[in-house]
Amino acid sequence: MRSRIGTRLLLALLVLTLFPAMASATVEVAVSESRITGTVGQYLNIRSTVTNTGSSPTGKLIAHLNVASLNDVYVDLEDWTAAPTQSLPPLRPGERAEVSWDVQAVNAGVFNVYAVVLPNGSESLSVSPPIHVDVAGRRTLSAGGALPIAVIVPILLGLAVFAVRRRLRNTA
Amino acid sequence: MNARVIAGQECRDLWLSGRGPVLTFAYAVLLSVVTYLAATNQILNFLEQRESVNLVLQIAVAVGVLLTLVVAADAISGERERGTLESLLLTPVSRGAIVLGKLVAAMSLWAAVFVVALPYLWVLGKGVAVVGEAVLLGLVIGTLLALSMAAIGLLISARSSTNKVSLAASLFLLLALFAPTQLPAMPTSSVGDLLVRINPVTAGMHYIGLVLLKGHSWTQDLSYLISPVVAVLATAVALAVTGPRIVRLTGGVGSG
Repeated sequence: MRSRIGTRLLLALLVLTLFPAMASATVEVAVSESRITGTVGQYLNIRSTVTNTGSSPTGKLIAHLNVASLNDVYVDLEDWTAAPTQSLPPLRPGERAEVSWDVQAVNAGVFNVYAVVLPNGSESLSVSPPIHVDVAGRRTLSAGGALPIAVIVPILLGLAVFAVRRRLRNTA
Repeated sequence: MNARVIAGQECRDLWLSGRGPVLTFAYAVLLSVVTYLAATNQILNFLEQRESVNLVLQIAVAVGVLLTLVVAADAISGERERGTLESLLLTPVSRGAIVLGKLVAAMSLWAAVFVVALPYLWVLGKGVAVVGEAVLLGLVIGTLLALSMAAIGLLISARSSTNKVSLAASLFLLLALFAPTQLPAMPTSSVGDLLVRINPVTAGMHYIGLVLLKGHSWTQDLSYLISPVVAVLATAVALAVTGPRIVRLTGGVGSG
């Protein structure tokens, strides 16, 4: 039993010795804005910068966007964006990468939108500061203007077709 | 000059023989139904006016391009079947002028349906100041697509043995090009993005969505317009080079 623990400790030491770079890679995530206001249906562009602030290169990174409701409005992330997860190439020390998401505000309410970067392996997650998103509701459907146009245009064209056909018949 | 005469004659045939006005009328009925549903139907669940403008614009461009292609695909093989091509070939007009005149006539249908689409775009987009952008996008992208499809339609029409073959081949081609526009979120993967970019129709439609719906600037995603522009140039060159040789009384590949 004691020898097994000793072997595990030796293995852990070996891994830390062989892969010190992985242990010291640190990633910071920043977002371009802290507050966005919009209306239901509006597309919001969320831009984020991922920086390797550590002294060694990172592995492949995964950036994921998340939306959290602050007033108990139901949030289905897939409705907000079809691609919440994006892959980033490995970053050298000091290198940065830009990630952006086009999200559609599908619900009215108050939300926090934030980006999370998942490094390879078992390192801790890096999270951006939240963007406070205030989405106002809006009535968008209105038959008032559409109905006259939807009726008048085909009628006018129908009359034109009738006139052309009648002219052709008379000519023939 | 010769091409202008042929274009004038072809336009008269198209618009006074009744086919042009009937197609435009059917187009207007379709846009009326779509516009009314987009403006009133809760089940469609449009969250923003931009979405309904985008829907109507995409349908206007797609159906407009379809009608242009149908007219172009009928232009030479149709005349051949109706027995009127012989008299046209006997006139002192070059075959290049005949092809150009028929292309202009087909494009006149695109111009007409685009004008018909304007009131629908205006009524749906007037509240969100998006009408001008939608009209300009429709004009630029729609004209690029209509021009390339009309040229392809003429090439197919000249090479087809019968009018049925010409129409079937043209419609199949258009369907194959438009089908990927209905697939969900293709550009999220690099392969999907490449497929969207190399198909002029999907690239053009995607560009319309990016500018109109997502508020991107016109220059931000300009690379999506490469394939529509290349398609126009390639089909124009193909038509200019082969057009004079393939307009003849007998159709079909290899026929003399």
